[in-house]
Amino acid sequence: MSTQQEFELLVDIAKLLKKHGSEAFEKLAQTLSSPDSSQQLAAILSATAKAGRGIGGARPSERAIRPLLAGLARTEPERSALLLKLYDDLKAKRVLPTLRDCQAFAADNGLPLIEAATRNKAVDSLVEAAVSLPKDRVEALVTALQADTPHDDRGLEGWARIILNNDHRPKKAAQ
Amino acid sequence: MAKKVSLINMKGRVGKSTLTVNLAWFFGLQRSKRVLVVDLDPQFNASQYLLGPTAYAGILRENRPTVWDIFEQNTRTPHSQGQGLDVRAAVYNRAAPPGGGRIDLIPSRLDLAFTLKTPYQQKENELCKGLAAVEENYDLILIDCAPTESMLTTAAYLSSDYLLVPVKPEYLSTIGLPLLVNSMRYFNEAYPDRALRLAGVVFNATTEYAPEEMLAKAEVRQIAAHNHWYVFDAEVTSSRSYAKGARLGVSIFNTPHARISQIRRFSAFALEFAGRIGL
Repeated sequence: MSTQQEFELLVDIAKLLKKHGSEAFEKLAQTLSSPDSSQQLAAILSATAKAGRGIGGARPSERAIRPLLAGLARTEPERSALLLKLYDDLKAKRVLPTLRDCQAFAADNGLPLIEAATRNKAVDSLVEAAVSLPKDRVEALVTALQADTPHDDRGLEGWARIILNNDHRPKKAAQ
Repeated sequence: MAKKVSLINMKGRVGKSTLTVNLAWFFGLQRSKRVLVVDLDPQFNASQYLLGPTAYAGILRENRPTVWDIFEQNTRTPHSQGQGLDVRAAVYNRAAPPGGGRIDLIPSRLDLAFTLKTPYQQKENELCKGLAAVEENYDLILIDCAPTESMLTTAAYLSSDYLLVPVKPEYLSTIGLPLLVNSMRYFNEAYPDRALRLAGVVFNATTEYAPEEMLAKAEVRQIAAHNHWYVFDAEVTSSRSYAKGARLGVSIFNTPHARISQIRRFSAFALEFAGRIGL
């Protein structure tokens, strides 16, 4: 062992050998030693990415939907921007924070009923339904979503400030 | 022509504002109806529910009109000549989902209580006249009333096609009913050409707690039968989701974790209500 780094690599290889077995290891070693090994390796990495393991950690749906929405910008920039806003707001939970919210919103706004078991899948269904809509419908959806989602602190303090503030009292009432 | 319905009971805390707003959400969003909510209570609970503090504070800060201005539009003071009001300026949109439905609000404010101190100048006619100017834009107008007999009650009666009476089935709440009977009697004597129609009495916030609740319901049914009032088959059951929805500014249909059974019961009541008023 010339360096500590090589020693650590050897330990990792030994762990992988134990995990995957010597036969798979030798087969892979043969593959990688062939002249077109770099293309083989790229194909392996691509297959891993398609299976949703590693490579940035993003969910398959995120990799599929967002680029699709962004790609729409070439032909329909306004619709693309609206869909991206819808998608990003939903993904960040700025709107419709629960699965029930998503289901209710879809039902309230004439979208197909969502039968997903998780919020993430519900968001995907909601956005996929929105993709097929014309721009004005998407715009109406985004507007409804904002109206449907309280942005302010509706706690007692906010109301107390309003109720106790006499500056806004109309002059007629103050007579 | 809009159906105009006042939600009224001479007892507070029976759920008038909560029912008003949830009915508005139901018909506006789920049935694509054009709904206008008129907050006629100086405590402005329906405005709080629908607008939230930021939007509401903006209306006050910018001195934009509310239901108070409808009543005071012709009042002359050293500061104002009383120049009339375009009622449309007091209408605020809350939701306009695709499909044609919408939910608008004429908000209230605390100062409406001061209007009650000067109940002259035929102010009670102002709301009726104001709504006549906008009613063609709506299928349903819901008026959320204050729980006390006043000029505002007369204004609500004059503006309504129907009354909807929520009753919480418990002793003190039921006493609001004979007060309402009196209120309607006085109105009918004063305005013999304006027959008040009752859409019905709905039991609100029921829990099936026996025997008190059963006793209260029996007493209410007795008064209703005596006055030929309809009592809704559907009841709105008690649910913490209504309070949670008010805090979040959403309906029972969109309140996180609201039980499907509660939502179905409210929907059943809303549909029975629609049948009663021909909506």
